[in-house]
Amino acid sequence: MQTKLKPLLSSQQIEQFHRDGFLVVENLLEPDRVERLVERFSPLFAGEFETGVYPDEWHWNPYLGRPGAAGQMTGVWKCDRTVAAAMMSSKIGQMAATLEGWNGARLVADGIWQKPGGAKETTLHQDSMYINYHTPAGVITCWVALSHAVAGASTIEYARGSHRWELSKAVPEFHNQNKSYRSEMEQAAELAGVGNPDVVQLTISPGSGVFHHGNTWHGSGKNTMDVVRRSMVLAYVPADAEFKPFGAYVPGGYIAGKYRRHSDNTMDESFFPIVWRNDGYRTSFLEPYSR
Amino acid sequence: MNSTSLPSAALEPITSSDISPTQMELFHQQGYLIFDRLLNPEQVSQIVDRFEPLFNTQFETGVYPDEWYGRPGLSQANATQQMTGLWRCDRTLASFTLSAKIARINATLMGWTSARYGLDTCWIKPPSAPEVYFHRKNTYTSSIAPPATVTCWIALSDVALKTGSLEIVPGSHFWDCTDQMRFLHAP
Repeated sequence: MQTKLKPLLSSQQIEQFHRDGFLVVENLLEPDRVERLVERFSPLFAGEFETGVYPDEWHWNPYLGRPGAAGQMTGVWKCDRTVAAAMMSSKIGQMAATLEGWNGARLVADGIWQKPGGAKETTLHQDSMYINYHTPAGVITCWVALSHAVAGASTIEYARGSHRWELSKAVPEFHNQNKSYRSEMEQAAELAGVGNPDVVQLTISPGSGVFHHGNTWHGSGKNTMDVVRRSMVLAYVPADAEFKPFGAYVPGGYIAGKYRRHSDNTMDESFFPIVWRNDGYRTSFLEPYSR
Repeated sequence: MNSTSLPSAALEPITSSDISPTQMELFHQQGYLIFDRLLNPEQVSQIVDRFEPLFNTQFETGVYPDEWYGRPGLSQANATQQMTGLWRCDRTLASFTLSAKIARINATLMGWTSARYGLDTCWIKPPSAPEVYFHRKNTYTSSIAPPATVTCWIALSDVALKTGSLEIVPGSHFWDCTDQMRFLHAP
């Protein structure tokens, strides 16, 4: 049965998303929720996982990490129920699906980032480079600021309109490039016939966020300020997505490829939950996160 | 995925019938048993050659590992490098870590009729790398029934006390106590 839905986004916002490849949406999370999420960062990066389950990626910890280096963690919802409650947001999933014109949104990956003062640039990339093994195709990501994201403090930046460029090969390194963090994007721009790409550095307050198309080039500059930039990332594919047929492994499978059962193309909801669908369906184990 | 069989020369000296009753007894008494020449030097080189690309984000299959510590650029120079879930990232390593022959030895020692792969991992400890906490593998597999684990640890370089060799407490498998799961690096 079709549920009558109050539109969360205006037609102008949807149009802007398709024109620019990204769209800022204010006040996605309430201030107290932002505060609770930020409190989880230190224990998580120190390896104190509330559920006892380890994340899918865990780059930087206080024991082996270089002071001042960026920290990145993915698959965080499995480790911590406070984080899971935010990552499983049906509202953000609904907005993502609406922007893409899908009947629902399936969370394919989540992440948290912290960039202290002095943290290096994050190479500009397209999320579809890492999430391109499913059908029907398509990826949309919501990047949520958990601190004041401003130019100079490693805020997210986008090459406006780059979602219309071809999908490039995966960039070789996110965190530790020995060349300009924009160089791969600039090469892609040239191939697309764009001589001077319009790179936009956004100012976003804590709890607000930005949705971007899977092909939109994005990354962040060095943090030149004495503040820690924190953010969370939610990446979705269409609710009815499944893996393309592959052999023994999923080529370029990044993280999601690990969760494909052999000879079965299903994207198992245990790992890729449907957070919102227009008929009211939501993966059943998310119920505790819906209150 | 390529065949998980090792090259024909691998592990030939050891079969289940080569584990003598004395060795079995020693394993159960000490909680460990050392095998010499489990891999030949060529096989060791094949494995070691894969480490540099892996830690520099060049995964042959494009699939990322389950755990990855000591990433260049983000870690201290003396940080231990550790990676888990190698078999999904690299088919050369998979051909060793999914070896039926090693699994058979493990199963034989435990008195099992078969062995199910749990995990694989590699460790690289550069000079001045920090200590690694003493731990017991069963602490990390307590959610599995039956909760039994056996591990094969293979040296890929000369190991000695000063280069961070593996230390084991003989007989500690008999200790009746529970441990807390903890981050193993740099206590």
